[in-house]
Amino acid sequence: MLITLVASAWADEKNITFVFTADMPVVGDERKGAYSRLATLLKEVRAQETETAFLFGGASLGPSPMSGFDRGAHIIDVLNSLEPDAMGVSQREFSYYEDELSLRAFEAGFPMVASNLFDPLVRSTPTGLVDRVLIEKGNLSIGIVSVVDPSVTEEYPLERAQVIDPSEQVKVKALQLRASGAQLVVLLYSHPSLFVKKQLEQGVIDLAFLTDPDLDIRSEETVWSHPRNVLLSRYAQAAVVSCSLNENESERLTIESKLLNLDQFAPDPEVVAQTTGYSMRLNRLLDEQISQLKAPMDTSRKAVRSGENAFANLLTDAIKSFTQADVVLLNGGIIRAEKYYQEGELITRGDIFQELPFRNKVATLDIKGKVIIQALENGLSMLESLEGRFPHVAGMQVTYDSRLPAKERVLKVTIDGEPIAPEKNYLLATTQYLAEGGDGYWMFKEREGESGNTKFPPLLSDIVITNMRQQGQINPQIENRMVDVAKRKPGE
Amino acid sequence: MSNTKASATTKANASWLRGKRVPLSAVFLVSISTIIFLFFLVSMLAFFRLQSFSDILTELTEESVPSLAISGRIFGKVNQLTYLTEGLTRAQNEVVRRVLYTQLQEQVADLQVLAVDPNADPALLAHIQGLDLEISELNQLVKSRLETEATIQKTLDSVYQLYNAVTVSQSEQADEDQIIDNTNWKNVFADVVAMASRVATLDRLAEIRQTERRLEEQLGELSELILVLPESQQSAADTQLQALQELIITKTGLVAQKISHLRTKGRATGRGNFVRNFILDYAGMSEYRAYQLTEDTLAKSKRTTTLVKNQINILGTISVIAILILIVVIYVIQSRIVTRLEKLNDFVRDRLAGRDTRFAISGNDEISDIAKSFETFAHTIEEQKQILEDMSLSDGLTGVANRRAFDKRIDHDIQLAVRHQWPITVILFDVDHFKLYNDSYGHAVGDECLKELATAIKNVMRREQDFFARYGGEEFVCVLSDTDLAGAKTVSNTILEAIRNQAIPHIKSPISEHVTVSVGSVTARPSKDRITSPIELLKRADEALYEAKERGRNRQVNVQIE
Repeated sequence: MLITLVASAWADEKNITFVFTADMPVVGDERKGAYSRLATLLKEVRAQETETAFLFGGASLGPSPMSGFDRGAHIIDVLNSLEPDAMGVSQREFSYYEDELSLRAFEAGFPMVASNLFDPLVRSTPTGLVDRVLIEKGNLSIGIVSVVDPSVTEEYPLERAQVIDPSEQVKVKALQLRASGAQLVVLLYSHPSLFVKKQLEQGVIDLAFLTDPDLDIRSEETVWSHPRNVLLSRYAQAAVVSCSLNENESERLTIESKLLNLDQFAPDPEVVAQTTGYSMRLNRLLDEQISQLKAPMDTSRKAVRSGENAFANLLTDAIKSFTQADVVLLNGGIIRAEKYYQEGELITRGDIFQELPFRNKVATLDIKGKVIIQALENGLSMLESLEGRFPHVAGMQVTYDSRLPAKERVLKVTIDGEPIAPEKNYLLATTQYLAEGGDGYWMFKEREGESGNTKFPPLLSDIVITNMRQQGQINPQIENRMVDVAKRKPGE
Repeated sequence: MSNTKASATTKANASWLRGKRVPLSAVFLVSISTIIFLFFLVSMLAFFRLQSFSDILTELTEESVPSLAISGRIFGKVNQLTYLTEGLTRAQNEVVRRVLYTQLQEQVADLQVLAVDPNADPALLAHIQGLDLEISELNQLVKSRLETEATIQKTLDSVYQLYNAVTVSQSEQADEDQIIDNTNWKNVFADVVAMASRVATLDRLAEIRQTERRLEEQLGELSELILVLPESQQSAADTQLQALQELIITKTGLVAQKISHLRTKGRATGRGNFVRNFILDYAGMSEYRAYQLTEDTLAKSKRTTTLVKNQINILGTISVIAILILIVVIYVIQSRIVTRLEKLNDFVRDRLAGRDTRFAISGNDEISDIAKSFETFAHTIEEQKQILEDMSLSDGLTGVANRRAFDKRIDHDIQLAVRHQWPITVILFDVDHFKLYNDSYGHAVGDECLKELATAIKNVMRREQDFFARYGGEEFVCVLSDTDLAGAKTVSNTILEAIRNQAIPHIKSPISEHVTVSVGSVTARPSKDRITSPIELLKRADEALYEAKERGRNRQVNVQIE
């Protein structure tokens, strides 16, 4: 397919074509990682006379089974073949914390931009990342800024780095870029914040690329629009935006934007070869059959974020037996494969890595009963929007009423058949992610006293794999651990 | 005599009433059994406690400790692997790469050996095989990165050589006009070389592409500038330009090499990080297992310590109880046997010494039996002794006291008279013409006669303190305490009368038809100043008797010593 560009008659008109995409965490996946098709698109656009800038919006370093192993290094490798001019750091880039992201930046042959991140250790942007970048395309200087929403820390707790006010940072960086000669300032972002619209209107930035494939699911946000705000709201899409800049015109920047589905491009054989290499390597690592299912399992987004789930029970039980904790609490958001498993299906390491692509590590905390109740309330507080915080438990039975207002939903909690004692200490096993206050579980972070954890805590996925391998056959069931009285059938 | 007998019987009855019989054999049996049982109990307890302690220690030494040691060693190796991998990833030359790769292989081989150990984690072996492959692939990547780096350096060297050739050839052939003509060419050529060497230092793909585009422009400019050069130089310049293009922007040129280098470098770094994480993941599991194992071992040790403490307490308590029971047993043996044997011994000694000790051996067993038997024997012996004594002081024929008894008694009564200052009388009488009686009736009748006389006189002795004995033959004697001369006369007369009243026929008697006696008495008042001896008393009584006989027998003569 050819992109037709408006040829300019004026000598001082400067043209550039942007290719923008993001959200490609699973290499080789048609929906979430059609890199080979993207390569073909890029080749076609680059073959045109007009200068091309490939901006990658990120949200791709994780989670995926392969990233579970290499923390996104293979994504950088494939991007190195696609040669982006810049990559924006988005929330999923924090899947493996900021230090791993820094390591990726050193593997990348392109700048990774994070404009509103501050690492107190180096007193600037985390090592390897840049807070802004100026790229030269022919006679055009383009400044790139990229921000993450502060809410990112709720889902992806960072070890040290702080997210600073994006609006302010965009303003500051845009000014600095313009001072160094940027004629165009482009913003990459991933959360539909209203300030972007304002800054587009005020001319702080010239163009904005927003990627949020789950946008339609977010009910609470009002989506705004602006002619120079390009929104990718689906997976496997790329925006091709042709820009003409004419300082003499009243409307100095005109853009023509197209959203293209990647599936219309043939896969590029070189990149296919590269991604096949990953698949083979991944299969080598993940193909081992570890267990057989004796009952069906559903790990769809709704199934793991709205109620008790058989796979989640399997997971929490494995952790309980591994850590020998009194109770286990995990959030549904860590289960990611969205698959339906038939009875009798063979489970491989790969399945587990697909289900648990984040490198979640186990943590044990010695906490009071009342904190557990607070945590459960938090887990049940956003049932309506299917947030990832839904609590899955082992070692306790929770009765709740989803019709009650948030934070007042827990009706009854029993541990070992005994009602939970608010002042008694229990040994709770969870993920480091929740222990550090992720997904609104701040009560775990603010707990009193430390728990004896090791320097390198084991991965959840490894624990589950070991457990399933030992069992041989698994029979995951829903066992009334999380009972919603609102869903009780009459007579029950 | 009969009193003593009665009291002995009462005592015996009382001891029988004292309680149920507990034989010493039973006491010994119970005591010894108790001691043996306690010894056995304490030994068995100690044995079983030690056994369970030894089981725990065995478990600790044979399972926990080796597992800990293995996991510690594995953890150590794994840590070494991480830094070796880092080193390999960052290797700046072939030698470093080769050395580190060899070391990594050795470590992996060591780990493989450890993984085969039964105490090692079974997942380790699978993990190591994966690791082995990953490391060898990392090595390949590093190798190809180093090769690309070398190629880039070589290409750059060629570019510089070419540049040198250009400058040298041009200055050699230079003349005035040509210098001006080829300055531009030379400057642009120099720009291209400078830009090319900059490419080698860039690490952003987009910048390399940007530079590539400029290089292409510059090379285009160079090919145009050739036309401006003097014709003599054009063909050489054309060759040089082509060589430069070849070195920089063809598919195998410097730019392509640099881009390939960046990709390989990124891939190698990524793989290095991957391998590191792969190792650390395993280290995590391994460390956590070791942590759990340590916790477990600590808990076990703690339990063992508590157990040992408890066992020490239990054994201590049991030993104390055993000692207490032993003390009780010893006390029982002491009180039931030893003390009573001592008492029995004292009792026997006392009885042998002739002291009439009270029978005080309590209980109902062999010792009390022995005591009772001894008591019975002693009692019998005393009775027999009494009988013997009685027998030696009485006259065998008449049953009244004999001369020895009289000898004993007279001393005693004299003493008594002295103490009480009362008179004492000794009466001596003799059967008249007893020889004739014997001759006429025979000795047997004579003896019968003496018996009758004795019995008659015994009845005359009305007071308890009056003593009467056969003095010898047909002669009898009486000792009368607190009896003065008048009393003596009365008693003498009573004796004469009693014999007469017997009226025992004596046909041969010259003085009477019946048996008669002659009586002589002496009455004395002995005092401390004048102690009358028995001999004296007897002598005077005998003289009185003689006188009575002289006067015609069957009469009495009573004298008094002043």
